[in-house]
Amino acid sequence: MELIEIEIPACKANSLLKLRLHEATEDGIGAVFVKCDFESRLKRLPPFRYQLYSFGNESLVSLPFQEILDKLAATKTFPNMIRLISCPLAWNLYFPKHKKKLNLKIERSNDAVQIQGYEKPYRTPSQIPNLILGSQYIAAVNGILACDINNQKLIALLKDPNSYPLTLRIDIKQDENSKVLQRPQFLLRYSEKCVILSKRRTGTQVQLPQPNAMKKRKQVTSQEVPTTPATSIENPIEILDSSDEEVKQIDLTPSKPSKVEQFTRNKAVSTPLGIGTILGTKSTAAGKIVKVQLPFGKGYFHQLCVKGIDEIPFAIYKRSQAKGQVLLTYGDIIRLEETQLFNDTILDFYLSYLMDTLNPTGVYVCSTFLYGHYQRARPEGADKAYAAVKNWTKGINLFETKFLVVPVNEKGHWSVAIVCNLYQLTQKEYCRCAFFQVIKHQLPNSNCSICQLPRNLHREVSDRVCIMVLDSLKCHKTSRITRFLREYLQMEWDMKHKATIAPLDVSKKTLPTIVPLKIPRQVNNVDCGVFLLHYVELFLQNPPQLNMDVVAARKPTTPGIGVQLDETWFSLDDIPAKRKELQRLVRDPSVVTLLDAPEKSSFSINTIDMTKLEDSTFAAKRSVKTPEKTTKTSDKATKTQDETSNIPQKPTKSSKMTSNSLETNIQPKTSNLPKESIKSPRDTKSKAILKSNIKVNLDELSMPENNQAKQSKLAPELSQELENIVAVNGPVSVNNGSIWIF
Amino acid sequence: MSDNEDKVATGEGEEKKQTITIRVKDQSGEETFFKVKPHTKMEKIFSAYAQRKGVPVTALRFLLDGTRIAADQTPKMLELEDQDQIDCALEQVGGW
Repeated sequence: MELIEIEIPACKANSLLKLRLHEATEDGIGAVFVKCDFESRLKRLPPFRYQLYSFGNESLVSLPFQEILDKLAATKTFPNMIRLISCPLAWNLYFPKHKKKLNLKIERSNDAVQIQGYEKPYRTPSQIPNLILGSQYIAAVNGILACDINNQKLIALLKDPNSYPLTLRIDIKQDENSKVLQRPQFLLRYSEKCVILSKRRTGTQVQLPQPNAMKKRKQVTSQEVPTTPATSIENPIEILDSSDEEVKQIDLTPSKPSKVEQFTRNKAVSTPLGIGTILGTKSTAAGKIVKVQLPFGKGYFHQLCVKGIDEIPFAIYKRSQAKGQVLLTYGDIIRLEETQLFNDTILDFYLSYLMDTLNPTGVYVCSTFLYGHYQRARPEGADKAYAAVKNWTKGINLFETKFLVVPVNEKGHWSVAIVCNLYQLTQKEYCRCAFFQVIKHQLPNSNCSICQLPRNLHREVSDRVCIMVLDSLKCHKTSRITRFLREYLQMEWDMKHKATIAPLDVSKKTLPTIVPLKIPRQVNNVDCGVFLLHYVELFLQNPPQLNMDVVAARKPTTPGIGVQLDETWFSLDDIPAKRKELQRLVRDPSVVTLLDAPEKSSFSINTIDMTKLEDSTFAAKRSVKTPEKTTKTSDKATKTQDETSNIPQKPTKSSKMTSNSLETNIQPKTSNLPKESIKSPRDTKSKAILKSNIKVNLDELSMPENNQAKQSKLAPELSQELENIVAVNGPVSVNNGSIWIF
Repeated sequence: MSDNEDKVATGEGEEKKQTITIRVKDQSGEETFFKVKPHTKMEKIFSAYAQRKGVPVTALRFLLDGTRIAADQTPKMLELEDQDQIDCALEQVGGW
């Protein structure tokens, strides 16, 4: 176990402590270190790997998270020593009694059983390691090592009443499944979503330490960065005053007001807790509630705090071979997730990427729109249809390609046709008379009797001109695709080569079709785009032999020659792996140019919206209410007074707020919001989830009085908790209808 | 490219005022005309067109000779001339 000691210098007594922490266990015991700004050694510490061990003389390991925060905030003696210890990588969970439902979310993979989540009520009195620490795998059950038995047996053990009382050993590993990677470079991304423990005085400028300045106050804010993969199941909370980060956040805000969004399923949205996809919506009296699939669970948000980001650019892929670039938006990125359908942008991206990385010679990938564009104009005649796409091959001679890749999209399905060896038609060194007329060469190895050019027997035999159609569902009509290709290529030939070379009759004879019958095919109804990409990639990497026999038999499965396009071509496991690979690629800075994340802006758009609301609606009420509110806790009273006295001017929409105006921006929230926002947990669910899974309901923004009335019904500790959250949520919470975090 | 350079050479002053008309042709063949300055970003056309059609701009693809047009490109960058046509296609999605 690694122990790290840091001294908090005396000068920190008055300034920002800015220690970012996160709950260490699912039920909120212990604190995990995330980030701290004051000690250079700590700045590079990987987040979520160390736990707070002690502060001064007090042990913090087994204290509830909230108490740790309180303790840190209340400490007045400086300098002081804080110790960190690496989080245990193995935990024992004790299950005393057999229950039908263990309330464990388990996922079986090839060689391990992973715990994806713990649902309440917990069946174990042990402390449950927070999912944020890493991927959790079952290492042993009652001392029987998981590696000695297979998954099935292991799960049978869990279900067997005779195993109880049962001890489950959990290994925590850092791997690709982990929600948070404990690497310093990720620190910045994750740091924002944890509790920042800061100590500061009321002013914005750092002042000399004064005895009464030691009065601590804390604000809890949950600030989530939408793009980051996940924080925790719990609501990550941030305690902060105006810190640099916040100023930065405001800086990033675009000043345009948020507009009412259209929410449809599978749309990418930015929520205060991260980026997710919409699962559905429900209209309530307070407005539309949007159900969002976040990386770490499902969330329910009021429509006002959800912002569609489908159109926001995520990354740009710059093609090196073809000109132009591919712009990937958040909407496109969401499509890479399992169960989502690929669109033309993703295909465009990956096909361009393939072209640039494989760098195959003589390969041209047609626009994904070619087929659709042509077919849509086709009813008006082939000439019209061709005219619609005539310019699309400007500068490219299709008849010089070895492989012409034509993605086909029709009826919501992707398939691909690859026209092979068209170059044969325009090659000048060898005889190509056989393509243009029926001739019988007398002698096998001689010059052509017509054009006098040498014949290339090898090519004539092994590189046949043909169309290969690869359809992962056999859903498209092959004849429709090939008819289009022949027609299109015929026109293209007539237009560009008829005069210079010879009239060509593109027909089934000159351009036969091959449909491999037994290629791996999709077993669901979402993966056709992935299959298309995989087909094309493997095809280009290792083209099959297209010799006479193969083409004649229309099956590229001749044993012994080249790759066989049959069920052994690739494994179906490649498909989910391909999705993963794509997900990695679009986030890889060496592949794409990542653009600034919109999360903060969307977040701040809300902020601004809120201030506007507050200014207009609650400005009068605030002054009246604040004192009422402050009577609740004397601590609060001092705070709010500080704040109210601190409001010099209205927060502006200006994106460049000084830290001063930022202050004012925050204060109304802290004093005002809790009241408005906290709603009694009438919901049966809410009591259960209130502690670590928080529901903040701010539906009745327009009726603050109501809320206040309701709030008084809340138990004091709950109200305190919610108050903290809301205070933290600051910008978010006002607009949030409700946030449930599961 | 050379055409454009010529223009710059001949009428630098005029160019600022000069506007061109661009045709946006949708898949049904319907044409919509936009008058733009050569240095206006194409996204303005896109959003105006999308608004007009009542579809989200993300569901539309604008193609010049089959190649996607990026939102931040300008008619000048694309070497568009008066009366030039760009195609508008709907986003293509496929799963099954």
